[in-house]
Amino acid sequence: MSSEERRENPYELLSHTADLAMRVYGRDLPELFVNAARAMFDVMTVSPEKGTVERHLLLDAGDTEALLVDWLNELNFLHETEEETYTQFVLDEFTPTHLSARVSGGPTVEKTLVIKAATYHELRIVPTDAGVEATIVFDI
Amino acid sequence: MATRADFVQVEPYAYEIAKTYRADMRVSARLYADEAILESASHDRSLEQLINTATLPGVVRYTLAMPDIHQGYGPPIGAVIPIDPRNGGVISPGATGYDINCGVRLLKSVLHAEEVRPFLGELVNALYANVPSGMGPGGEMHLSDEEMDAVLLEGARWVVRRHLGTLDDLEHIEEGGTLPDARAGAVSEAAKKRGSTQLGTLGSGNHFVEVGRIETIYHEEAARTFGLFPGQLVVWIHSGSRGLGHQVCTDYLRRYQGVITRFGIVLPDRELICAPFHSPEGQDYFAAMSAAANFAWANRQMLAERIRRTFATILAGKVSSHELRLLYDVAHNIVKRESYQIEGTLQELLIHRKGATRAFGPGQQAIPPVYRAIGQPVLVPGDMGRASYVLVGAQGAMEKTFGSACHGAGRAMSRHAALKEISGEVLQERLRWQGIFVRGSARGLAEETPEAYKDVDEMVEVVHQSGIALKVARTVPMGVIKG
Repeated sequence: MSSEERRENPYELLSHTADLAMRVYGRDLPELFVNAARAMFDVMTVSPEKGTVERHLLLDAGDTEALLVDWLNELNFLHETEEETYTQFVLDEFTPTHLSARVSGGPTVEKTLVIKAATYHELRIVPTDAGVEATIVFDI
Repeated sequence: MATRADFVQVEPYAYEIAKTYRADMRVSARLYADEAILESASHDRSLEQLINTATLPGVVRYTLAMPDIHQGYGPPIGAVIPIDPRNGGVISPGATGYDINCGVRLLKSVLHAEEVRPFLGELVNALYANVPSGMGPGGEMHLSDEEMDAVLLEGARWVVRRHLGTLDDLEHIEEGGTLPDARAGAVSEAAKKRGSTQLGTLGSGNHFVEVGRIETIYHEEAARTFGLFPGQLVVWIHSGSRGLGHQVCTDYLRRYQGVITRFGIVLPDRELICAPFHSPEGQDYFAAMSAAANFAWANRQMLAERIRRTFATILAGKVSSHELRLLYDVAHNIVKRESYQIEGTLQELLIHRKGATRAFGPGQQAIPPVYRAIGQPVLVPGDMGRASYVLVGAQGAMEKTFGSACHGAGRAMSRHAALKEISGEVLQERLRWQGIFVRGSARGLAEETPEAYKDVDEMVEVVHQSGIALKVARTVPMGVIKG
C-alpha cells in the first residue's frame, strides 16, 4: 500500500478463517493507536451522527504491544457496557508504555459485529518507510 | 512453516510431527485427520499453532488436535493440551480462549418431528422473539452483585434453584453444571459488569438454537440408552459465557503479561501466555475460569428454559407432548482436572480443550450413571444446512486423546469471504426451499452460511474410525435461529 493510500485507508482487513485480522497504519505510534481504535469501531458499529459523551482512559502496560491491546480492549469494554460508540480519540499523554486519552461519541446506533477481544496473537508493531504498522487479530 | 512432509502417519487417521521438528517443542504434536484434512490444515497457520502448544511447560505425551482443526489465535481451534501441573506445569488462559465454556446442549422431545412441522414457522418465529440473540447488550434480566456471585459459584444449579429447570437437568450436564473450584472474587468487577445483563442470552457469531430431526441411527444400543429414535424432534443450543468470559480471559492475559518473565517462561506466541498452576496467578485464573464456566452453564440452562416455555406456548394442545428433556450438555473451551495413565502411573493433568469436547468412554465415574456403562453423549453440531451428530465416547478417547473428541465441523471460509459469497436474504430463501426455516440478522446468517463450514460428516468419520467416539445419531436441521 502506498503512503497516499495509507492516509486514505488507515487499515486493511486480512484473511483469517475464524476470526478478524487487520493491518493498521500510522505516521507515528499515537496516530497508529487512534487509527486502530477507528478501525475497530468501523468494523463493529455504524458511527453515531454526533458526539454527546466523553470518556477518559488512563493506561499503563509493560510494552507498546500490550498497551495497544489494552487500549482496544478497554474501548471495547466501554462500548459494550455503556452501549456507546466512539468516533473521536484524543491522546493527551502518550509514551510507548503509557497513555491518557479522551474519547467521545454517542449512544450506539447500530452494531454490525461483536468483538470478544483484541488478542496478542502474532501482534507486531513495526516501523515502515511511512511510519509504523501493526497487525492485530481480534476474536469475534 | 510445517508441511505434510513433516508429519508421519502413526495410525490410519492420525499424523504426528516429532518434537525434534523445533528446538522449543517439549513433546510431539498429533493431528487426528485424513489426508485431505491434513493437506487443508497445512494451507494456513493451524499446524504451526498446534506445534506452538507443544512448547508449554509441563505438557506431557503429545499435544493434539481434532479433525475440525482450523486457524485460531494462540492454539488452533480443535486443540487438546495435556499438562502435568507439578514442577511448574502451567495453566494458560490464551489456550482456553475468550469464550470460556462455550458449549452445546441437546434437548430431546418424545415427538416425531413431522408432528411439529405444521407449526414450525410459528415455533421458530416465537423462538426468535423469546430467546434474546444478536449483538444487543443483553436480556431483560439484570443480576445484582449478590446474584452474580451466586451464579459464579453455583452455575446451572443456581438457575434450577429458581425453578427454571429440574434436578434431572443437572444430572445431565458435564460436572453437574457446576465446577467446584470457582471463586467469585477471582472475577473482576469489569467482567461481572459485562455479564450482568447477559444471562439467558444467545449472543451472535456461531451461536444458535436449532430445531432438528433425527435422520439416522447408527448405534442402536447407545441410542436406546440415550433415549433417541429415528424421526425424533431435538433442539440444539450453542452458546457460552458471553461478555463475562471474554473479560475474564482479557483480564488474565493482561495480568500474566507482567509476570511471565518472573517465571522464566519463553513462548513462541504471546497469546499462549501462561503461569505455573501452583502459583497464586495460576490458582486465581483457575478459580476465575471455573466461575466463568459456571456462568456459561447457567446461561445454557436459562436458554433451555426459554425454549421449553416457547414450546409450551406454541405447541400446547396441538401435539401430544411439548416436553423437552436434556440429553447432555458439554463444554468445548475449558480447562479440566482429569486423571490419565502417563508412563504407567495414573496422573492428574490439566486438560486444556480449545474447541474440543470431552468424550469419556464407558465406565468413567464422571459420566451420569444412566450413561456410564456405554459412554457419555458427545455432541457435535455441524452447519445450519447439513447435519449434526450425537456420538458416544469410546475407550479410544481415554487411551489416545485425553478423553476428547471434535467439537464441530470447523470453519473453511472467513466471515468476510462468506459475506461476499451470499446475502442473508438469499440464504434464508434457499434454506426455506430445503425445508429449513431460518431466522437471524442478515449479516449473521450470511457469515454462517453452510459453505463457510467444512463437512461435519468427514470430521465425524475420522473420530469414529479412530475409535475416539462412535456415531450414534445424525440429525438434520428444520429450523434455526442465529444471533
